[in-house]
Amino acid sequence: MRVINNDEREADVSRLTCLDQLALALDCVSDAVCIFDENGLLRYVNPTFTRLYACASSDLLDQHISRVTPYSADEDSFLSSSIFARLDLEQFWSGEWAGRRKDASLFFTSADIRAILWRETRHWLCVQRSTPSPQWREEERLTIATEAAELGIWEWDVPANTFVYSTRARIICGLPLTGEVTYADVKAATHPDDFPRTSAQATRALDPLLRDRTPFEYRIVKPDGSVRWVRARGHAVFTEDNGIPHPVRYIGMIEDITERMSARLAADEGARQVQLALEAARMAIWSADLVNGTLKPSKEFNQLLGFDVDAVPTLADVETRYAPGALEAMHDRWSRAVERCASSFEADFNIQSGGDERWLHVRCEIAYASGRTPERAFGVVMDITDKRRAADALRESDARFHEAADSAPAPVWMTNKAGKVEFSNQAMADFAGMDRDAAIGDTWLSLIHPDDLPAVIEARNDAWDAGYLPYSFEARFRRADGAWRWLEVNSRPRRDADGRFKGYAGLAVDRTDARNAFATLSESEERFRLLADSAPVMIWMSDEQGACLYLNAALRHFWKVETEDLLNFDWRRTMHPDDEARITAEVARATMSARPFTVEGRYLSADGSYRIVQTRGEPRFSKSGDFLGMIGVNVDITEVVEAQERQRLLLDELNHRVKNTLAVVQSIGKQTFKPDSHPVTARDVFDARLRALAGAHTLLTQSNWDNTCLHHLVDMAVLVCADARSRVYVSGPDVALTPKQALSLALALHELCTNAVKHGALSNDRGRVVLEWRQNEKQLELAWREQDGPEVEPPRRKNFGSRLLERIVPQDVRGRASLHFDNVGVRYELALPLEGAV
Amino acid sequence: MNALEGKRVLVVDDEALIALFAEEMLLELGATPVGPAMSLEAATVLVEEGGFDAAILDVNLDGATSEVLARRLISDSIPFVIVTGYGRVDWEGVTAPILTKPYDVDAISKALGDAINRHVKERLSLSGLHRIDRRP
Repeated sequence: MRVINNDEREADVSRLTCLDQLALALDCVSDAVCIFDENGLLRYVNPTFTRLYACASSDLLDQHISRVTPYSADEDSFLSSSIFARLDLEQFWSGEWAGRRKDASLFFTSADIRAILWRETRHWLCVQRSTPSPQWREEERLTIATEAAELGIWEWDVPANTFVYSTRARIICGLPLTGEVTYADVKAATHPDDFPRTSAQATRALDPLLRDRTPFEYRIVKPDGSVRWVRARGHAVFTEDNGIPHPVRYIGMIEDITERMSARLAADEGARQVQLALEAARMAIWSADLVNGTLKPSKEFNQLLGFDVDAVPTLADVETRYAPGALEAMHDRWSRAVERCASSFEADFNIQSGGDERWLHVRCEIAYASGRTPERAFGVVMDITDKRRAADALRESDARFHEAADSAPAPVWMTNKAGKVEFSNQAMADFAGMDRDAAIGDTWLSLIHPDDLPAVIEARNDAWDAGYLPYSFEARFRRADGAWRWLEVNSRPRRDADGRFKGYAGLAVDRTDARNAFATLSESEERFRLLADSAPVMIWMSDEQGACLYLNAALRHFWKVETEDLLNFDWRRTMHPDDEARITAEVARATMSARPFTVEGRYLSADGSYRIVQTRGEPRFSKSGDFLGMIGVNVDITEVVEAQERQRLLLDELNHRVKNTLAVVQSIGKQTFKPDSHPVTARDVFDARLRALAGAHTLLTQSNWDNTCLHHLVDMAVLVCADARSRVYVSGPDVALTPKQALSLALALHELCTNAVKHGALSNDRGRVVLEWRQNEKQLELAWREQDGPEVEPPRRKNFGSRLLERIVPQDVRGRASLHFDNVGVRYELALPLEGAV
Repeated sequence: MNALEGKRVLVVDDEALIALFAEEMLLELGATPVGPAMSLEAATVLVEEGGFDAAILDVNLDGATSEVLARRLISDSIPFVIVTGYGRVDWEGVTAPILTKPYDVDAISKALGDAINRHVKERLSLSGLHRIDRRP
């Protein structure tokens, strides 16, 4: 006999145990023990049981369990009672069991009921112990017993709504050890989530029609916040008032089951599995007398084979149930088993049951008579229709898969558990250039390029080792025509209905063309990079978000950024703060609209200086027209801009000088053409003065508007003296003059010369002019002295010449001047600072 | 009536001939020339001394610019015109009539007249009189 408990969950139907041995053992047990079958019929009672129930064992055996308990009025209602429902579900029931004696008096026991396999079928073993009944609560014995069992006792006086809790019950419920217990205390001690349930349980218990005594479990919240599971069972005591029962007391016990609970929660899972297994098995037992062809069926056997429950079909009757062909197959197998003198026999067969086909699995022991003649057989039969159907469905779906796979244009295959290909579709066979039958097993491995093989094996092994994960790889496979093709292989695990691994299903996609296109692309990209890197201009590429994808060597050098740092490099940070907003807006606008753009701005180059860079960007598009980003060129236009700036300054300077000169000319004109001057003479004077100015300009231009030599200036100025210039005696060191000084002196010398020719020493044929100068430290001292000319008459009013010499020139050269009309001749002295001139 | 009649006008130009020319034209317009100042230093001294009603400033003073003078004149509330061969002046916040070289007596008369009128208006506006006058 095996007891099915939480530790042992296997149903081993092949072990049959002797009733007598069991009975012998149980007879000695001091607890009351009975065994009843699934129909509720008592099959065994031990002596303690008969004593407890005050019956003879013959009165009890083969009687229905409802005889000895008040749980049901008849057999059927017991089978649907809550205890039996629990038993059926959990294989185990433990609780307060009410017993009924032959004289109909009731008593309470604590009962444990377990399922056992006995004579190949499930039976129930019920062990009962006398428990203290609530009626005995006054007795000391009870207190001791309950304390020992750590059971708490509680009583609710319903009409008075007062509670009596034993000390143990108070401890269990976390109530104060002394003092009154109120409904509010009880409620407070109950877990809020469970209170509705316990409350409902009490209502059912106090309902005279229900009088529910089912043990119930709930959580207690102790004052320290800890939560404990407790199990309580109670029953209500009713009194009758004018024939109407109403509850007066609700009495019960409570125990802390937290530890047991946690163990049970773990065990529940297993118990459910056992139940499922038993249900799925749908077993029936039978035994047959092979000599007489008679059968001893069970109810279930009859149900399975479609006979009346109480029928006693013969073997011949059974044979009529076989589906066409099944009988022959069964006979065949049976004969072979008997030939071998097999002690057991096992077979699947299908039957026709009410137009329904059902599959049964039979297992039996064969007892042989003298020699080799089978005499008896007994065993179980199980309904395996659902399993068969599932398997059939699987086979069918496999077949459908094969069909679908064959129409697939890409190679498709399936492997078995060992990884061997057991199915390959036509496309795969075509690819390999072999028969479909040849394309199974490990053939596919031989098609893989040797260079790719190690990676493929590794990918596969990794997936297997990790618990049959899906895996994929790309590798070269040799096609029937000898060409290497890149295949992308995707493998997924196949599992049966129960989730067991059955192998892999794979699909291969030819990626060769795509890879070639990619290779070409990378090649052209490589060419682009080589070209771009050798280009002297700065080339860049950005993505559609504007992030930098590529900088060529020139641009990397400009920013001193390495290729590997490109991802972290933000070109935006190099913008000059004053240009940032403008550039950013321009680039963003172009990127958003995927349009070309040109923008100039200053960027910080690696040498720490800002360079003016002109950026021209063009949008890049994929073949399908998607915007990919920008590609562009940066041109350092710093020098160009600076040259432009210099040119602008030069032009400004030129403009300034020209206009200044014009203003000078204008001024000379105004001075020359006075209302009282003779128009013709004035014009000659004006022309001469312009020539003097022009001459000075010529010298200045020759010296590139740099320092001019005083000797050159004098040589040119005395030209107006024509032949008389031989009578101008010039002496002085070489002195360099600034342009401004040169211009002023040119005008001054011109006035002195023309005046000397017209009125002074050079107007006769013997007069002379001495022009001398010397450099006194940083000062030039120049003197013009006429002699031997006509007698000098000081001018009646200051003309332009005298004003120029006396005022304008010294002002222009920041010097001092004096003009004297001595009798011997005109004398002019000028002193001016030499500004660093050599 | 000529706005320059009886006004004393400072002439700042590093080119003596042009300064002379300006002086002659100011005399023609009935004004009294002050200066001329032909360098930034000389001009600064004369501006410090004061004693003139308006000024003619050449932008380029022998390599230096007369921007500081312009700003000083603004803070001293003295109207002025700017003379330049470049044809433009980029002094931020400095607004004054601009005379482009070469200029004639009409141009100098108009520019100086504008400078003085603008200045008068600004002063009126500052004192609030301008607004009161315009009240209907």
